[in-house]
Amino acid sequence: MGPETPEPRIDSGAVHVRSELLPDAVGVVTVVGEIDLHAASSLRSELTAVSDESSVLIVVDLSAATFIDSMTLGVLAGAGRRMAQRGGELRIVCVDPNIRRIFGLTLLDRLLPIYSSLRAALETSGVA
Amino acid sequence: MRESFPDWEWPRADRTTGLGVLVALVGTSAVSALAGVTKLEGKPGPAGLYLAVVIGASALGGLWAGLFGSIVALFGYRYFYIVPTHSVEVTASNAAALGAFLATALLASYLLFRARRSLAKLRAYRETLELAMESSAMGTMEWRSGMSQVALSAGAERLFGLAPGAFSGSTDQLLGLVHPDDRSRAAAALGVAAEADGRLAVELRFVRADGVDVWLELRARAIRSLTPDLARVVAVVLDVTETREAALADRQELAELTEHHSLLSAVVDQLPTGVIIAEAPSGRILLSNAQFDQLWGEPLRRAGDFSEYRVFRGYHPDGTPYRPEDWPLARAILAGETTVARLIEIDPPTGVKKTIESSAAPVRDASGRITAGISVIVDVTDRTRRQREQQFLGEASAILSSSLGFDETLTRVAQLAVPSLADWCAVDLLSDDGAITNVAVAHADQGKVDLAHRLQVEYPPDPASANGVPAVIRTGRSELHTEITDEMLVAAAVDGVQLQIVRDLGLRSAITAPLTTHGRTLGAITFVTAESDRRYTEVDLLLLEEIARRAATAVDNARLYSEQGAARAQAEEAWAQVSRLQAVTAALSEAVTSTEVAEAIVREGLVAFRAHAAAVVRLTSSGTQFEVLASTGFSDALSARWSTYSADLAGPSAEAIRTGRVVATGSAEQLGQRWPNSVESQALTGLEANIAAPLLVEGEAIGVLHMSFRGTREFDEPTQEFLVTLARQCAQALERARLYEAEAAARGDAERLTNRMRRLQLIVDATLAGGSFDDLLLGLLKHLRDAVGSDTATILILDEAGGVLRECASIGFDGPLNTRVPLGQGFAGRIAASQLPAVVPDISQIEVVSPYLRASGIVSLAGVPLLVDGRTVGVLHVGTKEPHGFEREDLLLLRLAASRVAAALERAQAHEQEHRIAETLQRSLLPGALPAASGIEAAARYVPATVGVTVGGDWYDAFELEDGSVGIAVGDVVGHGVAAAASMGRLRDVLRAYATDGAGPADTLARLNKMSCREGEDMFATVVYGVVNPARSSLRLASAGHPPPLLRRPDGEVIQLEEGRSLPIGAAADAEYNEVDIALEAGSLLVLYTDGLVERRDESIDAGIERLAALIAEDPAPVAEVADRIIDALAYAHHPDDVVLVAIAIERVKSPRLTLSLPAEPQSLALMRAELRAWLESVRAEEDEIFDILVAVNEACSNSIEHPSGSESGELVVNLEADLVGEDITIVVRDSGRWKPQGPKEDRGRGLEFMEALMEGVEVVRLPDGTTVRMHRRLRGEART
Repeated sequence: MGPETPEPRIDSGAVHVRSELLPDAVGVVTVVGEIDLHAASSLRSELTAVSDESSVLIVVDLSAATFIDSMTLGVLAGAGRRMAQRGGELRIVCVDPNIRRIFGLTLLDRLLPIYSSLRAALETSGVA
Repeated sequence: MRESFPDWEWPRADRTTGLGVLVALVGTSAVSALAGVTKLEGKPGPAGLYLAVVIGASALGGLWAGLFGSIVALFGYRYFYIVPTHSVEVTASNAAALGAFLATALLASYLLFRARRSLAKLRAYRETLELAMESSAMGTMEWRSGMSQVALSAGAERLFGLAPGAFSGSTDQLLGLVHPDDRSRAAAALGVAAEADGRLAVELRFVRADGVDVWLELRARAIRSLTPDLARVVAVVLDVTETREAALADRQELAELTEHHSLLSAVVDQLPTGVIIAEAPSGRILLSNAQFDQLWGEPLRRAGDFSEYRVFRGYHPDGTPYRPEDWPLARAILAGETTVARLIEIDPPTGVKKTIESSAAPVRDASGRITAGISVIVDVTDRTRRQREQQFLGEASAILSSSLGFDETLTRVAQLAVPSLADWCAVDLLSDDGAITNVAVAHADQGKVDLAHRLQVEYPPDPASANGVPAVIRTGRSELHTEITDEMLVAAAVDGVQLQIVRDLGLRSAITAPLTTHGRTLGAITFVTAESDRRYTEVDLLLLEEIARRAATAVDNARLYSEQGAARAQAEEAWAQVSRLQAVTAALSEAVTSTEVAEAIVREGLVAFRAHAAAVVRLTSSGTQFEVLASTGFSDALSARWSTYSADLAGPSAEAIRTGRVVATGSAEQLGQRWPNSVESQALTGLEANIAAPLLVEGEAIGVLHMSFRGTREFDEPTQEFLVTLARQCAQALERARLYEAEAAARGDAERLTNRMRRLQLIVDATLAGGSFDDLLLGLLKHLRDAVGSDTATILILDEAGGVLRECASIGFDGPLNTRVPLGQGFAGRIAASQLPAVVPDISQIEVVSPYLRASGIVSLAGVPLLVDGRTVGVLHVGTKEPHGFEREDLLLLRLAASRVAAALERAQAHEQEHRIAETLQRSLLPGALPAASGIEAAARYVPATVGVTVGGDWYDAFELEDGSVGIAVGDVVGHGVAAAASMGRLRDVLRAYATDGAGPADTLARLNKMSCREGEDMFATVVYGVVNPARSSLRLASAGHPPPLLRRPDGEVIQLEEGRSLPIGAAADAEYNEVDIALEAGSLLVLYTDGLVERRDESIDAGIERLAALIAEDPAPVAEVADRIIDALAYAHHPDDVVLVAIAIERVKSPRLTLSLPAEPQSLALMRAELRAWLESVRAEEDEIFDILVAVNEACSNSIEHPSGSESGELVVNLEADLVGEDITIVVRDSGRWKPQGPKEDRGRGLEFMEALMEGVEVVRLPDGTTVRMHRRLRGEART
């Protein structure tokens, strides 16, 4: 019996990024699947879509994300910095312990507050 | 703005005076001083100037400045003027001049000082006054230089209502403000004030400038002065409007109040009801009206406070007197209660009691304080009486319409009339014979009632009397005597005694009304008043006649009722008998024994027949005697003597038995005549009538029921029938009881028998029950002890080698006996030697070897030998602590137990031995260790049976075959014990031999079967044999009737390997065996077992297999763990059979290397990750490890893809190689370009950081033709064992 090549799991590689504008200048960007170099641009554009000069809060929901890379972190860090500059905030929702570890590894978790649910992230803003 | 004091002038005038004095003094001084100086020098000099300085200093600086100035001036004069130029001759005139000068200067200074102080004081006074005037309605006025002009202070202006500055100062203007009525008075007052030393105080009404009327008080005083122009009149003005008005109001109020009071009195007097008004809080009565006085009977003495309310005597409805504070008026004042129409019985001084309805309410002032109380009283005496009469009529009607006997009814009516309508009430009825009978007399005092009865007896009314009851009855017309006069009494009295008695009764008024119905007069009712002093009127007569009419109707009804009574009484009696019979039946239903039945009949019969004595006698079984089962009412002595008597003697009992009929004797005489010598007649001493009924059961008399009565009696038909009914009940119950008793006796016998059987059975069962041998013996001893009723039970075993008996098991002792009894000695020793049972009633009489027997207080012993094939193997004995005579039955039990013990001992010893052999054999035959083949992991478990003493024939074997495959066999040889173990061993050896010889599973089993059948062995076995080939990931399996192995696939699915099954080994010589080839994927688990694992007594083997499958399906774990879990869950629950379990895990086969070549474009990354993840999973990296590696490799690949120097995207390729060596993973990513230096792009730049953080070693080699990243990480490998 020779080594069997597993079926490529292309499906999990698909990434979906969508955004939503909530009242009170709150934006939510939801990421499903894996974000990498290829998908980072769509994340960046969605972040741009929900943020303008009046944005007070952007929540990036990574609950359904299965993979992130340094590019993603860079995009998030950049967006977070821009938000902070105009008095807003960028929050991360993340439950996957592996992804959280990545945030911890890069100390980004000190920069971007991480919540374990979208509700928690929104609640503390009074939007939920 | 602070108002300045207007009379500033007069202190100023004073100062002017002071200054005038000063000027005079200065002038004088100056003249004298100048004279002195002139005289001295002859010409004026600066001395005058100096003097001016001194005086100026004095005026300005006060006393001390003046003094100082004087001295300075003196010395100045002396030294600056006189001394330097001239020598002054001190002459008398000089000195005098100087002295005068000094004195003048000093005086001037002093006066100046005084003037200043006065001014200061004045200022202070003025300010105080100003303040006082300012804060009060006060002002001052001052007339000067005659009365035409007047100065007003600001306060005065305000009082006059003048605007500041509006006053011209003319007295006339001021007078113009005086109210026209008071003007002349004002003018006169001013005239008085202007007179010398005039003082004036007058109150005048002014119409203020602003139109408001005010009362002002002017207090004026003329102040004289030496200079007429200083003379003036000063007045103080006060506003006294409020005071005056208040006083006026007071006076008016007083007048009004007086007027109100008179008015109120007049009004109140006109009211038709009594009224009392009292003040709060004292309760003093302020007012009461004429109606009240009339009601009260005399003018009310006004009470000073509540305590004097005692004069009011009143009573609550229950008769308790009113206390002063109880009256509604008092309650209104004290507690603010409002009372509405409270009925009170009052006892006014007139002595005529009245009923009043009193209402009272508090009177409150505006603040709610109670200032007075008012009570309205209505005399409701008449109304109340009428109400009572109506009430009486109602109640009397109720009584009359009740179903009471009419004597009682009339008595109740008479009682009801007293005392509300009359003090006396009597009812007389006319009997059919024309006599008049008094049926009821009522009076509140029972003594007087008795007196009346006596009078009735001693002085019966004369039916022919012209008046009174006889006359009323005769004529049917009522009599009313509003006033009973003494003459009437005298006329009615028969003699002096009666007259005296009647006089003493103090009769006042009387009404006698006929009791008439349907035109017939039945009697009369008489109402008399005495103590109540009440006088009957025509009105009362109407009421009482009505009562009489109703009473007559009731009497009539009652007569009709009593006529119907007899018939109804009969019906009731019949009903009562039914009830009594029911009672008897109920009582009988609870009676079980014959005696209980008889007692119930006697008890209930006595009540039902209202008899005085009753008895139930029964014929004895021989039929020759009567026995008294139960009796009551007879004297005890007789009952005892006649408990049995001959059935042959003539008497009611014998007669009833003989005839089968009721035997009634109405009197003792009758009884004596019929049966002169009867026993019953003696028993019936003191009784007269007797009735006896036979107790018949299916026509046969079994006894007699007697009822006896004290008086003579005729027994009518219904009574006799009732007795027969009762007798029938009694007979049935007795028969039932007899049957019950017979049955109970039989049951008792049966139970005793059953009990014996049960005990025997227990002893037998004990030996058959499972459990250890010791438990068996202990259980048996317990049953034996219970069966024979002993305290102890002991089994001793003969140790043949030593020739001694040792304790094997015992109960009833505190601990083990640890005793050794030599054969032939002592109690047990002799039994063992003689092989004969022995009983010792008292062990103190014999030799006992074991000291424990005596120490434990054993008194009696019984023992039997334990015999096996005629050999003594031990002794069984029981002991009691109380003396006990062991009977034959006990010894039989002992012998039975002994035989059981002996058999058990024998069997146990044999089994024990065999079990040990078999287990040893079996264990020795099982493989010590499983083969360590690569690619598989195996675990095996063998658990011998724990219940019972058997060893099964379960076995397993595992061995490596030449091609690297592993052979695994599991089998179960039918049968237990050494033989099965031996068969198992041979089977195992043969199977292994064939298998290693290269035979496939089916072939191996076929040959095994042939061998078994050929040898003609009585061997029967199930075997499953499989060959696992890790290289081929396959399993070849054959089964000889064995339960199906289970296979868990990597995805967790568990399947039963049913294929490849054939007949068990030894079933048929020509049985064919086949095999099946099953793919074993990496990660599979194969489980082989024997039926002991899955078989339970109470369920099918399929259920057991399902349970095993469920256990296997749980999370994968190392096989050893799986095996333990299965054994824990299934085998140890209870397994009467051996259990074998073999579990084989097929290890995942690692991919040696992953090689990927990807286009250098972002889309490739997802594919790369998917491939790498699959590879990492295949090498069983853990999820967090996989993630870390994926992130790191993704970074490396991303960098390569972003390579800036690539000519055309798509042409460039990223190569990835992943290797696993041991637990070490090495991944190499290569590209053909150069990495961008540290990212100018904000989002990048963490790639290398990530790699280094996530991997254990990262090497980046940048060469012109490309960059190579080599990463390394060691897997934990926990799940890989």
